[in-house]
Amino acid sequence: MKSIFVAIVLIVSLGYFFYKVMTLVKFVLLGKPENRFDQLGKRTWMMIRNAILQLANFKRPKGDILYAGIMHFMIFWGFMILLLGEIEILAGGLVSDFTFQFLGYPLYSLFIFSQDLMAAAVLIAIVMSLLRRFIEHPKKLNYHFGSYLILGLITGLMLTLFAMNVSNGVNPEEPVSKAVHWMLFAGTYIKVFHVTQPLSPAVFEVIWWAHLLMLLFFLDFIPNSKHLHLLGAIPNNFFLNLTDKTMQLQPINFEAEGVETFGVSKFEELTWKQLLDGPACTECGRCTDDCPAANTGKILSPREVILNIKENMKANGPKMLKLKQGEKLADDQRVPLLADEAVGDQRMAFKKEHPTEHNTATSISPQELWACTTCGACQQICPVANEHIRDIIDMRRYLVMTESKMPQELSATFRNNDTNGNPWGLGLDSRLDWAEGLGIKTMTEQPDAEILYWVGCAGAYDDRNKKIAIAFVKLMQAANVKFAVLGTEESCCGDWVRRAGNEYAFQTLAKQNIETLKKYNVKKIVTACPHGYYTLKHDYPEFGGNYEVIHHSQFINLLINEGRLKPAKPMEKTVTYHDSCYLGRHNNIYAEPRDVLAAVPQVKMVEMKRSYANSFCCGAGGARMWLEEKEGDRINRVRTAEALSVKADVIATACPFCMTMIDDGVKDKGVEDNVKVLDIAEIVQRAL
Amino acid sequence: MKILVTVKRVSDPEAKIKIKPDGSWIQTEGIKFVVNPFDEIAVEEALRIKEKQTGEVVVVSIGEKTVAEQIRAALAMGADRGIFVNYTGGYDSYDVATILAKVVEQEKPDIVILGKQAVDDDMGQAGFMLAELLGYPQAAFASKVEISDDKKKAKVTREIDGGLEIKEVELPCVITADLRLNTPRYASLPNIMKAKQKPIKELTVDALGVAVKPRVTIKKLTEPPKRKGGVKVESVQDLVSKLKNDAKVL
Amino acid sequence: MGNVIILCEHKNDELVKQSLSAVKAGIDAAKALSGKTFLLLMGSGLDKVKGAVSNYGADAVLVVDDPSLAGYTAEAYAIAASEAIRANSASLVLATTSAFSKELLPRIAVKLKAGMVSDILSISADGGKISGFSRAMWAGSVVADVTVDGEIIVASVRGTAFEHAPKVDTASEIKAVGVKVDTQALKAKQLEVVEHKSTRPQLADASVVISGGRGLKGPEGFKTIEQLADLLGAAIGASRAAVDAGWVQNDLQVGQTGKIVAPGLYIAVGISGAIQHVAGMKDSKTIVAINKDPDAPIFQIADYGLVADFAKAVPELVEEIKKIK
Repeated sequence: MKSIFVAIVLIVSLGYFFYKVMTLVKFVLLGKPENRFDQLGKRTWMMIRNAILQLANFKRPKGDILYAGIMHFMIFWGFMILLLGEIEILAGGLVSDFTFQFLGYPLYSLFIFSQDLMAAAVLIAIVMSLLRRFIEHPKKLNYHFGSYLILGLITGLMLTLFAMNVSNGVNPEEPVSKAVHWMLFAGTYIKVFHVTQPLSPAVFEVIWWAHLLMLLFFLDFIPNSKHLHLLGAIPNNFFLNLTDKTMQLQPINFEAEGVETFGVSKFEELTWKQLLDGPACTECGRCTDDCPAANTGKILSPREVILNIKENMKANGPKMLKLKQGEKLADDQRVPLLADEAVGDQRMAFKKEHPTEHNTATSISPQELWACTTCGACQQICPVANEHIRDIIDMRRYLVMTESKMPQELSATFRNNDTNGNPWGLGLDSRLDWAEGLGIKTMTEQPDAEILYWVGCAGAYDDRNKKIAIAFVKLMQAANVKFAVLGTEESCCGDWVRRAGNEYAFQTLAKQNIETLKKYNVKKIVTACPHGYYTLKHDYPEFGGNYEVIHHSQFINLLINEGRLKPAKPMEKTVTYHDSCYLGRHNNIYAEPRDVLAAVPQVKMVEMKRSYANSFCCGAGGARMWLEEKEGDRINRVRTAEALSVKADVIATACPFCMTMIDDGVKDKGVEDNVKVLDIAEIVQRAL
Repeated sequence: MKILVTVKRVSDPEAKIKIKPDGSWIQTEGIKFVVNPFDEIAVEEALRIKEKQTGEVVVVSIGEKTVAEQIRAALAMGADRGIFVNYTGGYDSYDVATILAKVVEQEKPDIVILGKQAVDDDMGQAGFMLAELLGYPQAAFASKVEISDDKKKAKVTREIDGGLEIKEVELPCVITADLRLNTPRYASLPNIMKAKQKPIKELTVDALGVAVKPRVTIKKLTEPPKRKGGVKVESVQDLVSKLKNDAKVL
Repeated sequence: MGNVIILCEHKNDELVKQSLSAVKAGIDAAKALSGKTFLLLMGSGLDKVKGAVSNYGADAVLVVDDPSLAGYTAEAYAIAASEAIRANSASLVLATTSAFSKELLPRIAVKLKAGMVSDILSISADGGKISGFSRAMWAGSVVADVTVDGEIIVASVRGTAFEHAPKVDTASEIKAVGVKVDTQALKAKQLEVVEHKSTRPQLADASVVISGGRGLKGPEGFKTIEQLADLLGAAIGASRAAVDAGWVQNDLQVGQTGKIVAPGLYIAVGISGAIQHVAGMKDSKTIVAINKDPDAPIFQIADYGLVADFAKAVPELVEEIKKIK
């Protein structure tokens, strides 16, 4: 009789679970294709390393992340092992008196030992979690009912399990009783409280059923809650971005016939991997906690970008699945993915009143999209391999290219760039004016140059950054490097254009530059701009431009190591180095700029609180350089304050955008007489 | 409502201008050409009026075949069709107004919008001459345009010396766009692609029945004397003493 | 033939001073042409202002004073002006460049079937005839020599390129010209004039101009330079960037597409010195530039350059000038 009830309950709950999961799988498969099936071995290893061994939870093993990592490790492995016990319990419900006793005693005892230990470990983790939620109360967490329901369910599961273990331990009819001394916790409980009698069969039955029902409810709750990550996170760590190109943007072919919209305005225009990011999200909030925009009072929360896409998918998915072949879901039938500015204004007003609350919605507003600096902090810390930036860029693409809706200052900058190939809109014929009197040769004048110096727009047109270009040129001349520049033939590399979503203008620039580089048979490029570095190195190969690209920090370091540059003059200063996002997180270049600085005699290096992969953005990436920052604190002020707090005399940068932002920040604070912002090239050049 | 907008192809305002050795014209090699910035504002205003009122925006330009590039730019912003008056000889503002008047007679727009001036020659005459030739009222240096509900009048706020003037003109009329009228949009990609298919009608001055006979002729271009820079002063005190004792302006 | 007619602009019963540049240009041209100089004053209720223009050395002041000209419109004034011009056999019609003349002269030119040159820097005459003009193009990068064919020539005169006509003892004859404009047929009507209230001098009149640009960072930055302006009795100007950003009103823009000024002292604060701005102020007698960027192109034309942040330097400047005043 019991086995029939158990079977019915099991079939219903498993049926519901698989129905829900299959529906979600179907939603995800509505996304566009993307190849994440290469290097299966490496993928498998990454999945094991990140998810199974849980190493992705310890990316920055300090403070709350370490605490939560340990807690999560105990719950994850606790459940993995307890799953065996649950199978035994379930099987016992279906087939009377079924146990794993047949495994034989040393093994069965070990099994009993593990079940008891893990139940306790999970309970400890629950206590840790409650302490964290109520005492530490990190603002990055979502404090919604579902989280507490799950914690309560797990507690219930563990307590019922413990009760059954204690009862079985003293019940000579139960095989557990023969291994009772293997149970560290239940066994101790029996001894300490002198338990001699098992529970009455009726009470035991009630506890057994309570346990089963909680377990199955938990199962069915998974697809409807953030615990969906139990299913999403492992595959997402398998399908992660394995390349060193941190922003895997969807390719767009503008020659294709019949395409009328560009970029993403509907969830199904994202790839399946982009859609899988939502179910994988654990809502841990680390992305938002590290996000420079979210940290300075903007409404962008990278977690909510991922979650809102998921909610939109869940809102529109059922309608999509009902469509017949060839049918399309009409715009007025769907819940829009892109909200208008009015919605963004409302969210901003809400954020001002409730600075730590994050409300999940079904849409994303333009204000959220434009707040992103593409610094990569979110995806760097994400434990489930989510890729936030490309979602944001895909939606920006729609706003810019299809709708031509963008902040006014951006449209002016695009116009400047279209006409003159630089965002300042200064005359394209004055691109080489900075080099007057330096004796620099162009590729035409020096076709056999060993390396091309890509000056970039900032180096060529921005007054502060021109000085860096000059310093770097003097370094190369001092080291007898045979280099050349493109001069007026160089154009904007397109970094900010692409990040801003103007893929069409980007491709035009990229193809034009590749054509120019091909003309001079350029193989090796050095640039002082991490944004140019990223674009030339990672974006241009998409269009047939393959070069060995070197950042000037690497190049100067090489020249010092080879003895071609000898910074001998001491600089008795305390220097702190600000990691550029595009150099650090996006390209893993952390050591060389520091090595270069350390090569200058008597430089005393200090690190800021946030540095290396945890560096805090200057605020200029992702086209933010050209946008006004109206809401909240200015990111550059926050970062400058951090640099000033370590009492450095010099803030060293290796990126023109960082230079501009930090330099502004220092002037803003009125400390420019005491604190200098210098590029590493300038520091070395002063030391020659 | 039909709106005719003029676009002039001008050298990019950021380009360094060099004069040909014989002084006959500027060197155009390596110079980018763009839509006159005030004409872009004019196109934007026409599009905004059209978006409110429905209708058609027609863009007209005069010159060599290359002006098609500027017409396309306006079509990409959203204008409906173009008119290209093919003329390669010399002309002055009066001739431009005469040609435009013929185009207006053919097209019969409700409003003609032009930029307040072209940033290459800075003449700033054609719009007003056109209005006079047609006997239309004009609203110069507009910073705000409101069309009346019956679409018979326009109330225009104009930028004048020392303030603003609000002027009412009956349609058809000529409006010239000033800087603050609007910020021109960045063309969307679907519109850029559509613009390639939009019709541009080619006309000649002969077909329009205009005999171009410029009254104003540029004889020679020369470089103006350059102002010499002075000195950098070290401090505010230094500046004040120099202004008082050397320049004697305080 | 050979007479010169100069359109004089008036406001609040006073002659607009810059008109005197065109008067000077016109009187000189009339000498070369052996013709007469007539000043043309149009409007309604001109009793007060017509006296104010009668002693600048013109042969006569033509006054079109009619109620139909109350409330300026280019449409009505073009009719009145062209009738007065025809009646006095002029071969040259001048007015100083201003928002008024910019939209009026082209209409008059068409009525007279005359060619027109804008914003001239000089007039040359040869053998009793006008032989040409010079004018700036491409934001002042180029000066063009221009000739105009036809019996009548219309030209606007750059105010900064000609001195103001001096006062003379003999009064010009005042001649009333009867012109009636059918206002019903105009299709245009002035509804309202909103004057920017300011106690400071107008840009074109001021002997000192203090201009602010993008470097002032916002409207608050202009508050800082206003203190200096008040101390020096200066007018406030602005670069296009500042006007475009909406920090100040449009008519303060100095530059190619705004006002051309040439005061005794021009102080550019937070202005980088783009060619379009320089085109509007490079003829100032003394130019001072305050900019925190030592490489700003403005320093290449400034007589005195101070590399400093305006927020510190301008209040300091106010204090220093107070000391010597």
